[in-house]
Amino acid sequence: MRRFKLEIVQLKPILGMVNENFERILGEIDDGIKLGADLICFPDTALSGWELSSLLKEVLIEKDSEKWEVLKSRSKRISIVIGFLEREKDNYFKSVSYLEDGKVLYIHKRLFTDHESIPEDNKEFHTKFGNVMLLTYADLTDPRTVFKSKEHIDMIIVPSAVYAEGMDELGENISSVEKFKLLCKALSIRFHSIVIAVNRVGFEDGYGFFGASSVMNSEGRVIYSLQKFSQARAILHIDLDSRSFKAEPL
Amino acid sequence: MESVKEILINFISDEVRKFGFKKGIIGLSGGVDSAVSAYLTVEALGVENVVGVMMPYRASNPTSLEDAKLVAKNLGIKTILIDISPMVEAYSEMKEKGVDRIRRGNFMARIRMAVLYDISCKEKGLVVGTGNKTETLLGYTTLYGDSACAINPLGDLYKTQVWRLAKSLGVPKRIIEKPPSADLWAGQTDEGELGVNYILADKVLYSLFELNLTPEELILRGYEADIVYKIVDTIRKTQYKRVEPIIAKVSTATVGKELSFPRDWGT
Repeated sequence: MRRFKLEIVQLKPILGMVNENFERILGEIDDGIKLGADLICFPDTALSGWELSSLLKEVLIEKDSEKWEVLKSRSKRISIVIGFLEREKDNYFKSVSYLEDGKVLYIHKRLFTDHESIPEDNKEFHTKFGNVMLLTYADLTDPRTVFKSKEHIDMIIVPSAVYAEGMDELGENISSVEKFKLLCKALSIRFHSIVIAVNRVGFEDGYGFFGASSVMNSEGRVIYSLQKFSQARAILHIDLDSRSFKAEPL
Repeated sequence: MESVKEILINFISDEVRKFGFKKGIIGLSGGVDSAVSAYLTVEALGVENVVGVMMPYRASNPTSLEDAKLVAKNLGIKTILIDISPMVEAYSEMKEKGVDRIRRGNFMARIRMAVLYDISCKEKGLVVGTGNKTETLLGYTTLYGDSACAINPLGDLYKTQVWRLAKSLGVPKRIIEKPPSADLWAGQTDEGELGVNYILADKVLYSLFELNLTPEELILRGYEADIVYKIVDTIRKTQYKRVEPIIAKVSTATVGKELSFPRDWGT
């Protein structure tokens, strides 16, 4: 399936309220199905919120939980990219997953420590749309990312939770906004691949997640982007062979 | 400053509304910090949802009140004027002649805080703070006084950045250009009390924290050692003002240590 409808959902999760977020996301998935989307992508931490501190146990989704079964079942009708928090023994992982045809096709894990999440090495995987690489913002600055994979990559999906920081002395620029765009562009050019970067919005304890989710063509040119700081969604028709894009009005 | 403005306006809007409030309550001192907070809050919440509270003391400089009124008039916001003199002087210690001006100043700042929080309850709004990063780092605040607020949009901006933001927001020139003062006693200025002007203090602070230079590297770059070490020492000595009250640990999971829940939990 080289021609498909992509939906990106730039949302603001409720911090630490996994059940409420899950219901919201199910609603978005069902809307996506109604709109005829083939693939729906959510931002990183969409199920949990980002500034978790002592809330890890509150937002955990166990592998055998009913929530996974519901998501797997929905993925028979629409492929899903979603981030979640999981636990193995005493370690917590902020992970992002790709679900398709009733199965979890891939999970990209990041070991969650007090202040950061450390990405584990990951590989591209095959989906019904083509070869996909699933990366998060932390991977974009990891040198292992640019050296990996000799395979052709059709799509790089970057579920993100990137916040504004790095104001210069004169207060004219916020470096993280530009950095996020440049890193995605570099990735697109490096792999000659489409990049789908879905960044969340909302404020958590002062961290302002700026959104500006975008889809880039394989030359790193932004084809479509959502506005900053507002919840929004978009549907795009993508043809991987002709590398053409067309946004569908919502 | 457009990007910074966009972030701060969204911050105020998001943080006030997600807790079910609509209004922002701001103590208008007549100074540039409270003016900038008020201009941003009007953009974030709408003019009808901002209340400016003016709280002069009998010995306050009259131009402070005039400038606070100018901000309110330019923005078209609702104002409340409360003379805090009777409240301050109801405390008999403050009536004594020769009472230490620091004690009186701190007491006035805490009375203003109490008034602001009472109005926030009455108006069903949140107190929007006015403190900037320079005064926070130098501890130039009254603990539980002017530093008390629900949200603080300017807390990550140095004073010189607040001045730039004030210009871009259209804050009247006379408010931006007058010498910054807490106006707790006649002739008081921030820079006179701090012993360093804001432009120099901000250069040092920016180099220490945003560029991550050491004090020694700053001195090698031509900054006076006395000034650099005075600033570093002031930051260390006032650290207690930037943290929650310290708790003696006796249990396994202590609030603020192992139990560290985010403030925005559930929103």
